[in-house]
Amino acid sequence: MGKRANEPAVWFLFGTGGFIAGYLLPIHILLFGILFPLGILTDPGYEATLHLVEHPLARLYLVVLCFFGFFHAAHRLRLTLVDFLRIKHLENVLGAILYTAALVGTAFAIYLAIII
Amino acid sequence: MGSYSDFQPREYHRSFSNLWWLERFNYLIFILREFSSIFVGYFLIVTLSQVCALARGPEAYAAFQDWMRHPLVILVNIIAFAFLVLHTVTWSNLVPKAFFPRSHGHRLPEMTTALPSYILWLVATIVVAAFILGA
Repeated sequence: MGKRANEPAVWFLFGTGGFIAGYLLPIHILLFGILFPLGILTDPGYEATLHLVEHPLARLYLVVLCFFGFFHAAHRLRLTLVDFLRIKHLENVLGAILYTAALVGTAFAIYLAIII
Repeated sequence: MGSYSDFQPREYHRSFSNLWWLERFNYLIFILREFSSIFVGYFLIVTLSQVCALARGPEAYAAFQDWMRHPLVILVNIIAFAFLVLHTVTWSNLVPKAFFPRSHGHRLPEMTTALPSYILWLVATIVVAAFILGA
């Protein structure tokens, strides 16, 4: 418990990420993951979607969503797996793996935001 | 001295099974809520592969769309959507637990801090949907 109190930076990412992912991801899943594939709504298609993503604000949006979202997921998954699998002794290893994955995901988002 | 030397304190260990999360409905909701993080990570990866496909060209994007039309992927996405809604609802309901403004010495009702979170969710949803559908 004491260790958690020493993680304000991670907690800031975790908390903010909870809001950012919570507000933005449901509509993304609903549109790109369910309604467009089922043909209930018309997919804007390659050209229009590319045009949208190329906008500087959309690039920033992608990086912010991935940065906060990945760190939120990594932090919460660390705490959950420790309780669920009862592997308190592996918490640091698990944390290192999950935060590294979040970092890699964020780096890839930055790369895509630059090249697109 | 005397009888007190017989006292040997022990740590209290409550025994619980590996299936502790099935013992109570509240525990199950807790663990489902926490595992929503898997689906946050999952759909961020989907979104990154979508943008990656956009960057690679029309054929790659068509392949991405085909992949999203697979019935199993749609099923996973429906589950992911349900988990994300559970996440956002429980996250919004946490706001009054962390932040409770007072007026005239009384706590304002929980909805005074939870409601703005729901409104922000609605506004964000409409704005994002307008950009994507209007693209």
